[in-house]
Amino acid sequence: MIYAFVYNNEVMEIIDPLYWDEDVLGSEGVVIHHKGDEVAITDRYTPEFVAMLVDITNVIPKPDQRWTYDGKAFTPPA
Amino acid sequence: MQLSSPPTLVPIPFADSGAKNVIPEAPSPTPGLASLTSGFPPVTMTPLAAGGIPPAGQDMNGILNLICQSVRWANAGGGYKYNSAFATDSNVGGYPQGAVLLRGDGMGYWLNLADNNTTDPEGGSPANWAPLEAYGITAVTGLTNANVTLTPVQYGLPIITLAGTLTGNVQIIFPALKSQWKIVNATTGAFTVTCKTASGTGVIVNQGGEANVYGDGTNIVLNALQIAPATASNQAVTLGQTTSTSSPLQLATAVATLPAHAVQLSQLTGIGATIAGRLIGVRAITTSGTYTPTTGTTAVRVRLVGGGGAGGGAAATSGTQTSVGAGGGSGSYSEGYFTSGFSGVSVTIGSGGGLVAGGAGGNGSASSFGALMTAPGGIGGPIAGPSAPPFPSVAAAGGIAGTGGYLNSIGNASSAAGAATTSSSIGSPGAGSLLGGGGSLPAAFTNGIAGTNGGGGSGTTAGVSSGILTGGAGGKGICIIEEYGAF
Repeated sequence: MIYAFVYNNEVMEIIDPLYWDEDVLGSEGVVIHHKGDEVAITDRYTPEFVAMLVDITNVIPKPDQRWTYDGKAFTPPA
Repeated sequence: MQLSSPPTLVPIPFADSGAKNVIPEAPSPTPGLASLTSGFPPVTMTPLAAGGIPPAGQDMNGILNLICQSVRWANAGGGYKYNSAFATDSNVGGYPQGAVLLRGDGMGYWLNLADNNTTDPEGGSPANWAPLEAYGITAVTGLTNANVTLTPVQYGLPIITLAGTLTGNVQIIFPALKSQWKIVNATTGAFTVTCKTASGTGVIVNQGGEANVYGDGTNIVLNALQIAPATASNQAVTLGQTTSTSSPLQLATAVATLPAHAVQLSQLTGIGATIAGRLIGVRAITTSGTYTPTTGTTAVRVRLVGGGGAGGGAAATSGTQTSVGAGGGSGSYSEGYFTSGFSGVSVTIGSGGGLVAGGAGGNGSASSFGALMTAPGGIGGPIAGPSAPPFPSVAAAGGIAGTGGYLNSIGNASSAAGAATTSSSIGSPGAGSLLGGGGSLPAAFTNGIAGTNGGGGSGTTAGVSSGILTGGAGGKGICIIEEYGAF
């Protein structure tokens, strides 16, 4: 999934998917994350930061840095 | 002879209560009396008709009584103390080598090391007397800072205890004999006790402990004790056993109470409960991936910087225009300490802002330590112009404050880039992050310089009639992890 980090109605960063590069074991010794699976956005960043992200996986055209976001739609800079 | 065939013991000296003479050592002036020197004089062996005198019955009783006293004493297991009159008697001439005398207190023996020895083993000037078997403990008390020379009575006992509150180093002086002692040092005070001979060397006996030392005739010596390897929990172990890698050494001793004592793990873990731990590793992560802690890590201190913004790339200018690009802002900084949930987290290293020619630099990306801590990236440097100066200056902000740490700081903003005249137009350098520098401002008409470790890339300066320029790239973020382990 792809996210836009929006701050003050401006896109600061586009966050592309990240994938687990190895199996990760939980405290019980079982694999809780498999190599190759996408890292959930909630496992990548703090909740405060995730709250500022907008899912743009299916947004066309794909927004970029400095686009504005009014809470509903993205607009490219003039 | 056999153990079962002892001689008849003498319970009472012959003629103990009978009439008897004291047999003198020198010949008696009284005719016919016996002496130790002459025995019965010749007149007792002369016929009465020729003027002889019969041997006296009192003499015979006296002689047998004298002998029987020693026999009875020996039968009772009695020993002999030093006797000055006997030793110096001209008919004795001192004790022979190998003689064994009883201590004055009857609690042990002295061995004579030389013939014709007339000295008192417990006197002021004993010579050639060595302590043999003895029973008892010599207690040397009240030690402070004065050396102590042991008296014969003191060094004649096998165990010597030392006590007192030391105010200086103390020497205990032993005789230069070939003998052995157990020394127990019960002194206090931060000073040492050395057991030595007057003119030889010695050994320090540690406080709170004991040492089995011996004299080699010149010095006092303490050698390592050789023992068989321990096979049970209550046995002393050899050094070879302590260095074995196959099994841990186990101490069966009591809980240590002094600095010189061996300690048990339970005592260490007790300390560990109040001390956070020790640093066992440091990671400097510059590529996104999964964090697997070093084995034994129980807590981590994480320092995180977001990616720096790229510098602004000045636009192409005409003969009356200039254009400037501001440096990129630095990534923000967060610092946190975590005791759980850190193993196997996904670490994201924020990329530096991308290069842009003739426009504002790209923003840096956020770095993160899983869901525990996030440090956003710095803002890309904007540009001003192209236009005829003067025109307003521009600058880039640092990344917004991170989250999750006990310290969450915004990134540094870059300084302003502007132009008052065509000859005074100037860009600005990239802002430095807490862990890395920003790109320095290059000369006019030159592309920008990249930042490092979250520092912003530099801006650019385009004077009149300049081509398009590219700002410096932002430095990518970094994550430094200090790993702490318990005891």
